[in-house]
Amino acid sequence: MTIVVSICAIILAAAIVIGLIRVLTARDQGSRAVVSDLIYFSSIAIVTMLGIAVSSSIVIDVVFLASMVGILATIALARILTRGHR
Amino acid sequence: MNETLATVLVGIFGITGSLLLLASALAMFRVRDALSRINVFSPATGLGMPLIVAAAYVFDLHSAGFSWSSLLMAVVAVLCLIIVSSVASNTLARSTVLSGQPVYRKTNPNRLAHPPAGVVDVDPDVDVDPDVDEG
Amino acid sequence: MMRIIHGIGYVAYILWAILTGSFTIVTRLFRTDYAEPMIVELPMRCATDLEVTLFASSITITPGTLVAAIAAGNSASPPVIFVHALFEDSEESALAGLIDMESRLLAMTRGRAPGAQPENEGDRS
Repeated sequence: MTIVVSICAIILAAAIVIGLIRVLTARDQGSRAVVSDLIYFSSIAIVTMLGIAVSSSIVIDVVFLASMVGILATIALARILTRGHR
Repeated sequence: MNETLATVLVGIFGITGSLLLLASALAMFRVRDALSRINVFSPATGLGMPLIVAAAYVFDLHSAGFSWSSLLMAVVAVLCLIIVSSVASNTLARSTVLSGQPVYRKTNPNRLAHPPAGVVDVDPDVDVDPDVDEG
Repeated sequence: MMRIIHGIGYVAYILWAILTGSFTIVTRLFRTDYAEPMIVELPMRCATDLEVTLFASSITITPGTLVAAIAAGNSASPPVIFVHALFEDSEESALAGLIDMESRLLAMTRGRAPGAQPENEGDRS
């Protein structure tokens, strides 16, 4: 189990690093907003894998709550892009 | 459920979901503008994250046994991921267009910039008074 | 009763579209010509707010298509949706796929498949 979880965590960390390189080389604000969404979901996946690795009993609860509030950061960035207009 | 089966299932679901997230990150380098990046991000939330949830549910089934509450939480988490990510992408795309972010110049046809041939863009709710000279 | 059968069929259709669209995005990574972006314009047959919302969410969750803007309709013309598509060959094939999805959606919400054209056809058709 530990080996499988480590492979998943390494792949997800690679996705986060690639996203950060994309933020560095992007020129428009919209791309940065999308990459922040990608990094959020990758972090949730890494936390899930960490919970599986240490045999935690609240793995499902963590994923459930994180998927429900995942919209808030994106909506806030969308409002920032339009500078407060709807 | 024995140890080997749980490990294999967690491996299949987890690694496939992680590879989909990585593929979305790589695809963001292959396209040129923000709208396309929002577009290629949808397999990560539509298929990758539900697979991660499936891996977590298989592990929960293995370690704690079957319970209706964890099954309900997993199903609601998958539905939330699909619906919430769709609404979030809609909002982000709309604000991207509204705030005037650059659109890739080879986007063809671009109906937001040029209407189709033969379309006359008039508003029929506005009454045009024929007596008024429109100068 | 027919609406429940159409609803199950529609959910299966959306899940199948998510699977094949994700497969397309992943396999296109290894080709040199990655994408041909286009923004197409579709006058909708959906009338109520629920139908428009469901249609926009269904388009966005399908990998490869994204709703960029929705123009509200008025008394003479239907509401118009602007869709950003990445992997379609031409404008006609993109519109054909969207109209197919819309027919399945309207069969679910109204109980029967509607006609091919917008009912109140205006200037922008």
